[in-house]
Amino acid sequence: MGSPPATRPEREVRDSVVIRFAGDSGDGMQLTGLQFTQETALAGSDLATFPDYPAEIRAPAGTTYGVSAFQIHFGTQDITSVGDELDVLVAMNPAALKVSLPDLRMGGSVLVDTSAFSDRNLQKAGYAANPLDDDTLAPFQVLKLDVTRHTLDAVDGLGLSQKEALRCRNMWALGLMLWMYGRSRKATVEWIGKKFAKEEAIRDANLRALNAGHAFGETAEMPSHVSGYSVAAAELASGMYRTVSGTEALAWGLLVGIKKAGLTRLVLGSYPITPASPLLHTMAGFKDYGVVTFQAEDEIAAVCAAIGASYAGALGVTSSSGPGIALKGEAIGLAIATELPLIIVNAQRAGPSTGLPTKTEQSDLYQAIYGRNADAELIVVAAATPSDSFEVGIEAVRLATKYMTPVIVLTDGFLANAAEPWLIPDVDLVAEFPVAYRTDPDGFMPFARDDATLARPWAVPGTPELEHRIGGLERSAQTGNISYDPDNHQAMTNTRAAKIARVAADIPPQAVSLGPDHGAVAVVGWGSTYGPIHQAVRLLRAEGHDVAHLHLRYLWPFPSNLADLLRRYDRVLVPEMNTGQLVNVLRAQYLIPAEGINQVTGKPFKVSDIERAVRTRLEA
Amino acid sequence: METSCSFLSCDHDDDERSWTMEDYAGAIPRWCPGCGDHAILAAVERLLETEQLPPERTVFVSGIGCSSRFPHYLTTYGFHGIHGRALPIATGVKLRRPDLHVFAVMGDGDCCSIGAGHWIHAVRYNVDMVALMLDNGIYGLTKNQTSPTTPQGHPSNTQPKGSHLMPLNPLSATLGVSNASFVAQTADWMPAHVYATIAAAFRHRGFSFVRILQRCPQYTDDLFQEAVRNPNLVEMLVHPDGVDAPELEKIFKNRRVHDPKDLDMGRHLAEPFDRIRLGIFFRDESRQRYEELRHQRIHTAQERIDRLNEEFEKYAV
Repeated sequence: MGSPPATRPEREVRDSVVIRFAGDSGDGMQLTGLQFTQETALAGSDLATFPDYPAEIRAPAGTTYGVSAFQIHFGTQDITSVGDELDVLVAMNPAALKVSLPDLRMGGSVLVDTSAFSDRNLQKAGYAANPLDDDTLAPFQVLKLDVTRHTLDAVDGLGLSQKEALRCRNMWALGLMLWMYGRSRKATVEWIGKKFAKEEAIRDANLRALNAGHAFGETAEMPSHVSGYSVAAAELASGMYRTVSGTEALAWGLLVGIKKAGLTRLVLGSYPITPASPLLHTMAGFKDYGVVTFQAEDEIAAVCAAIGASYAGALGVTSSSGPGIALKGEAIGLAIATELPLIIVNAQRAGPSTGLPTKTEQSDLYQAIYGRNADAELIVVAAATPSDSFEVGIEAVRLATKYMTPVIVLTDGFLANAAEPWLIPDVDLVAEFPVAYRTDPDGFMPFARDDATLARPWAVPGTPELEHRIGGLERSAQTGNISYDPDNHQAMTNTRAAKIARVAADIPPQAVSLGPDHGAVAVVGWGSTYGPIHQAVRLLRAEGHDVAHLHLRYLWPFPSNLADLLRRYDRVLVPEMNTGQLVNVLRAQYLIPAEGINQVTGKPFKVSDIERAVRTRLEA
Repeated sequence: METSCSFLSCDHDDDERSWTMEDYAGAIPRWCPGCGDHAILAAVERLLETEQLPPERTVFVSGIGCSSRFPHYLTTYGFHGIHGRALPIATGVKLRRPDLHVFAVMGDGDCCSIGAGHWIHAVRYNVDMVALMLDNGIYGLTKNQTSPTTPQGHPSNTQPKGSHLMPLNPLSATLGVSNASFVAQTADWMPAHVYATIAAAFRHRGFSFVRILQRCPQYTDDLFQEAVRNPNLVEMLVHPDGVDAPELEKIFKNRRVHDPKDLDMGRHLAEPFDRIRLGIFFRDESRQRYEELRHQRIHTAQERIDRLNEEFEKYAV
């Protein structure tokens, strides 16, 4: 038994808290964050998470560019963003402190491992003086703990090397944070047991460190001014929840989509690229449900195999990020020309060329809408939140198969990695949209069109008497045979555009996410900026400003009511993580004086960024 | 539809239909008079007739170039793709429908230049299909540019004083890829040999790579002229397991016994030599095929539910 608990302050009650775990790439911060997330989800909080890690697998230890961080925002109310400012920062070394301190709110708490603040580490982080000794941390509540020593003490006697023992520091910190927020350790204990099932000493060391960190909080060893906090469970609709990232939800959406379409196969052709690879990882687990994954030799083979599979009656899907989508461009044109269903997932990342692979941006909208040779229209949709990705996946399948066209699904690095609790939907309630292959030879022509959708028939190899040839050379209307006829090319170009335009009448009219459907200001967003925009508009409305939030899922074509809706506001502001793409598309399409609010830092918008920008425009 | 088929083959013994070569002939070819592609198309039609391949179960996929017009000249299913990408498109078709007979038709620029990456990996995947590389040693459709197989010194519009580089050897390259399972060479001016070679390729279970030396009367008329006139410049690789074209025995006297199982010898024979060697350089049906490796056994409903739950458990509650 340890010493009896001293009298401690009651747990402070908080509505929501933002915590960031930050350390070296090798410190296990992502695992720590994920375990904290799991325990928080089990406790019933609503939450949003955001991992932020370097592109290098193991950047040089102790450097600022090697800092890996995991942020979680959780609380009792609807959590829509990952949080602007940190309430708590766990900094495992000086570099982590240096990188994350600017995000800590005044008066926030910072936990540092004093042992990690060696001269060498301070120097690598670029600190001239030890921030623990000067007034750098004066505006904050500082918990200077020797996490290293506590961890080594806890695992003593298990026969671990110094290096192995030090790897348990993250579990000690996790144990303490779980104590601080009154969270259980149960799921983490189970997880450690499974993960290190074959390495008993490592397993025991991690468990000991976890429990020691927790006990440290529980007993009187904490400074007296530090209390625990209590964050009540959120009032979420009842049902079964899972914590999903956008990528995972999208994968499930695509799977449900093919079931609703009545298709037996989905073929995903993909090539590894950050941050899109997790879709291939996730779908590789779906092979028992009609999913064939093909890790191709390159981006072009990946999309071409998907196209070949679609031609043969599967739903072809290919996934990548901007640079890979660029490589696929010619083949996407082929799918447009041959009018085959194809889904192209672009998990956008920052910057041209290689840019910032692990950082988020939404700067591939032009690429999605316009980025091919010739007049080559397709459908573009974007997911707003991790759970919205599920619906977007289903909708992409519906549109691709109904209109026999490629559909680009835009996600981004934030959506790909960020997670939130997701109420597992009842898939029986999702409407079916059965797809019929053409089988009747009577009057069959490969490019004859459905009157309503202008889609051509899907006639798959293996079907008798429907043998036909398709290809990228311009096809004669109806027969699909090669045609160089000028009038035919004009007609086919018009028809391809008209087919996509008709989608506008087949998608829900644009709704207003928050606020009135007319008035002073509409803040119009798309993609992963949903949370920060929503929260900013909510705050501005609470102050009495006449502001509404519109969030677009359908980016090409736009919903048919969008022009009218936008014209009912005096001003249209468009926040985007790019230099102004949607804003220009809206201006070009509707001749409205929409104004951009733009930022490309590789990080998601903060609520305050948008709030401030909108406020400035309101006051201008 | 495909549900009546096993994973790898379909039983069509009950099919009472029959087809003649004419039944497989599609649009009238627009190749130049004297182009080797005509003879190759005829040999393919003969194969389709001999094997009685139902047109609906046969797919020709091509890239871009003169030879890639191939699918339009047949009445089977056809997909005229984009430059260099016939193989990945064909692979996609097979991923969905392993039961179909798939042929990929490419030119030398298509296969060995812009699509070279796909070629190497298609050999390694060893998906069951026939890849025909119609090699005229030049870019024809784009009007006379040097290709990877253009002989050194041969002039073109892009290299008017003659091709700078040694040509790429498609046979050696293919034989160098791990998991290669069928590599053969034939020539358009010997229709019986073309037929026999592609028939062997068709019957091979795996990725069959056939390089067909093909005359271009427009731009590389001189390339094979001597060999066409003088059968002594040709050496036939023969073997009981090789290509069987008895009608050629009297004309082509240079015959060399080569067991297609012998990879080392196949590689040696693929190296440049003062005669053109035709026949099967290598064949091994035991090489792993992609569709076999990725074959999914049918699960019971309960097994599928268990797997689904397993997948769900990967997510935190």
